[in-house]
Amino acid sequence: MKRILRIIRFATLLAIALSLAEPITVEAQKLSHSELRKKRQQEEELNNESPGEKEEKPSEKRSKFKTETLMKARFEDDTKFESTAVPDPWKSESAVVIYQKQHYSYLRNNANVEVDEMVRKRIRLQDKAAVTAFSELYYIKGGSMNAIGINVIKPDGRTIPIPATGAVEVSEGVPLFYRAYYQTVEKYYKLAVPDLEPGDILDYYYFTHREIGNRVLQYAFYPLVFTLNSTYPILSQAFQFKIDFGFHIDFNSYNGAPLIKEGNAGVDPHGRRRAMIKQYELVDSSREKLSKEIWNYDLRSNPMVKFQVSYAPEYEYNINGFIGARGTEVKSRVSSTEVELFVRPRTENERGSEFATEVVKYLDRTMPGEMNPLAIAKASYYYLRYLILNYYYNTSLSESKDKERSDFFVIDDYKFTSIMRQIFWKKSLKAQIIATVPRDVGTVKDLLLPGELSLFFTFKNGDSNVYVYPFHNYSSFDSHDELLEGTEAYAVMPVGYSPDIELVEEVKVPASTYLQNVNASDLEVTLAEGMESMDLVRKTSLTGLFKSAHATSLYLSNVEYLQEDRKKYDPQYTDTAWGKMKSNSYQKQSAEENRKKESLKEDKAKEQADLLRKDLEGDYEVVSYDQFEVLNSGRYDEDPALRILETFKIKSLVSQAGKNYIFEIGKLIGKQIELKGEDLNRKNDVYLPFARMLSDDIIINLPAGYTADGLNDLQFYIDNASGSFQSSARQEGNKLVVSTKKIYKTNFEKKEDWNKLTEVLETAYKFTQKKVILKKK
Amino acid sequence: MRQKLFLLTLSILAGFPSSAQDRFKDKIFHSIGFTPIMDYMAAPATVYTRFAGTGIDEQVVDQYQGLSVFTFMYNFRYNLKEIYEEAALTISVTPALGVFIPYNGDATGYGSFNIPLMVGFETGAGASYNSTARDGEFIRIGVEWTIAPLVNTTDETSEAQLETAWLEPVVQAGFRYWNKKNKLRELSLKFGLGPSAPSEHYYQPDRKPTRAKTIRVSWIKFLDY
Repeated sequence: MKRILRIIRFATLLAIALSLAEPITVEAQKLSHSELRKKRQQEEELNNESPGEKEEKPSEKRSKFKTETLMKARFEDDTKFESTAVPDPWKSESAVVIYQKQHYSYLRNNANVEVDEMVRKRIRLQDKAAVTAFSELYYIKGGSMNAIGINVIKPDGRTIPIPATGAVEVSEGVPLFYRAYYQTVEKYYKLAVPDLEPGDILDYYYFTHREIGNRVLQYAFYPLVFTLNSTYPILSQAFQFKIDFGFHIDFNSYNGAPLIKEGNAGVDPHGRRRAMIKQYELVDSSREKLSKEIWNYDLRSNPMVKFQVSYAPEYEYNINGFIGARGTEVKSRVSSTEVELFVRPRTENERGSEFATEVVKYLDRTMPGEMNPLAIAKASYYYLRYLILNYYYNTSLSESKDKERSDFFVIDDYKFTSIMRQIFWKKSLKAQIIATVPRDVGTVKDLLLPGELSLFFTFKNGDSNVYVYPFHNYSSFDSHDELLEGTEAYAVMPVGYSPDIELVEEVKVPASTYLQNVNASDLEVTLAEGMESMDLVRKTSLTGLFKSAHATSLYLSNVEYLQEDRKKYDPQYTDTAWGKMKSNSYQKQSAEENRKKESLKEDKAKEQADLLRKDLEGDYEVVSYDQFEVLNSGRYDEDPALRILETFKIKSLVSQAGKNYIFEIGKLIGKQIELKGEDLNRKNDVYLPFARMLSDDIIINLPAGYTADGLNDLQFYIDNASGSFQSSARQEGNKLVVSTKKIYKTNFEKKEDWNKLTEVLETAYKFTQKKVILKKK
Repeated sequence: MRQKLFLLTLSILAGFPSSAQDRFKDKIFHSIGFTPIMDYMAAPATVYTRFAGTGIDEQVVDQYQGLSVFTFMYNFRYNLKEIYEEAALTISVTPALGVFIPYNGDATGYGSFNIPLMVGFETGAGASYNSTARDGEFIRIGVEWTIAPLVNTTDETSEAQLETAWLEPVVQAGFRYWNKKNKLRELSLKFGLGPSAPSEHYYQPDRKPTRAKTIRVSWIKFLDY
């Protein structure tokens, strides 16, 4: 039927065409030959700005021509780049972005998709700090073609071009102001900009051209997620997106950012203006600089934009993205049904099925007949962790690959939920997958890009829901994820329920409480005779999210603890099947491998000691970091606290005052947040990492014959809905016993309740400023 | 009309002033394509005398017929009139070079060259650079000149010196679609019909003369579209 209609349409159009047919008309521009020559000469001169330079190769000329043409075509006609004025309210700012424009285009050519990025920024430097900051300029270099141009406009109007020579590649330390709005950046370069002065205007642009091969049928280009605020105030800014035929566009504005507007038809790489090329623009002005407030997620508190272009063939539904109608719809919302449809194929039964089968065999072997979902889930969690970590760390691939293995391994959330779901299905138990958006990014209602989605697992145990998050090396079954807990979410992919259950349910994931996340320190301090240094022995116990937050990179940064798993699950384990071989060649090879392993272990131990010392230096002036021992890894339910023993020396907190000593005793609990002036006026809601309790029990061994005066000043107590701080101190013989407890009761506070938190924070800070007098009896 | 066509051709060769060139560029379409196996050509039948001077003097009719195992083609198209974004009247030329292999034992040769010049009506995808349709169709009519075989390897002393080049009316129809990789493709059937074969002469039983013709199914890829 469709074909018949098409033939009818075709015949009708043919009839119309024949009736409308006219002779050929060619509109030639009325230019004489001399005028034409002159025009071409002018164009050539424009494209050869530095005639004195060495002759370029044809390929270089083409590249340069294209780069310059694109830049000229896009930005040079924009008169906003001529502006120099800064409004009065921003005169006192260090620097102000007068205008910035960013252009991203996605155009097809015969073989590939050309992705171009053009960025131009015009910044007025207003003080010495800005001059220092901008004396190093960073830019992006990527893809097959690049260009950069830098000008400094002096207050007297002189324009000084800065040659882009001597730039060096950098991989770290790129300031936020220069960072790309996407993750995939080939290279950053750093360039010195000499002779800057307050009052100068720095005007620079860069251009990158990438060609994405069209060998794959589905492709999601890097997403752009950015706030409209930056390190410096922005007077005016524009973002342009040019998208060729057949692509899908995801875009939305959040937190008061302006909406995107469709513009005129775009121009293709051959200079043709074509209706099929869509252009969108977002224009914005007068943005204050990013807030430096503590416990703030920029993407939650500032006007923000998400944008992604992707391609998928027609009638292809299992694509890696949330897409609207091709070319005609800008997708800005994702429904719960779409989330379910996205998650379903990615967590269906075939994913990780070999692990699921292994786990079920283990369950059948060790707990036959067990039908309690909690017991099944716990046993599955730990055995699965053993299987996967063992596979990850003990499968020798190659020396280079072995070195690439990270000390921190977290299972892919899609794989984890898929395996757990299969286990529950095989055990005829009920469960669901939870899909949500990390809270530093947004909410599930604002979900737009597939990369924002995170999954974990849930099931009912009696009347309550149990939430199980993807494991990592150091987690235990009850470990939460600070970015996922407490979020609004969708429960999808029900297994084991009757068919009439909703495929998608809206749920609120509970957040952990401060009783679950405890950092408890027992500190024994010995003051040496002469009071010049202090010996400290610290026993730390970490539970809940503290384990993830601190243990991952510090305390357990080797994989020795895997032996625990091995003893428990596979006591007969040998390193590899090759381990049974006894040949001389193997033994030689094995000795060499052992030597390398030992060397690697030593390197890691040194690296770890450096990290631990650095971490400690956040709280104390460390003289030496002497010893460190993991007393319990906290990787199992039986004893889920990670316990550490450390011995170190710090610079004495005692100073002589006459025949007495002043002891800055409050500083023993480590540095506390100091709030000053503007910090007290909260502008944004407060996103704390997680509810938590920090306690310090300190015993100070005084040299014989000393007593402490002023212990009463160490008694503090504040308790409100947001948190609490309490402390006590007493002397028992030649020991001072000090206890403090600080509690953050929630992981989120409205900005209106900031004052409750400040009461707690200020109290804790006041404690650190307290001193006692040590007097000789 | 003829004068304007002449001017147009001159302009193509000499180059337009820039703005007119831009407008001209917006109406020009390039595409390349190929035909595997499905390019059949039958040259006009030739009557020649076999066994001349032997007293038998048999009048025989024969022709080159065969398939091109692979034909490569380039299509140049100009939109004479864009009625709107989705419909255009066009003129096009499609030179094609093929690996033509005739199945004729007496006259031999290989290769082919075919060049149709057609006016057409195109709708939907590919009709103009501003089309946003998902698919499109076209029909074209014109004349084509074919030489097959392109290289005649028949012995010069052979009596079977057959015609290899001919001009004939041609019609082509096809449709266009966006493939899975987001590129515009075209599938078409071209049919050209040449002079009839004389029927009153003797012919080889396995090579019954037929009317000169070309039939080609071709697969075209648009460039810079």
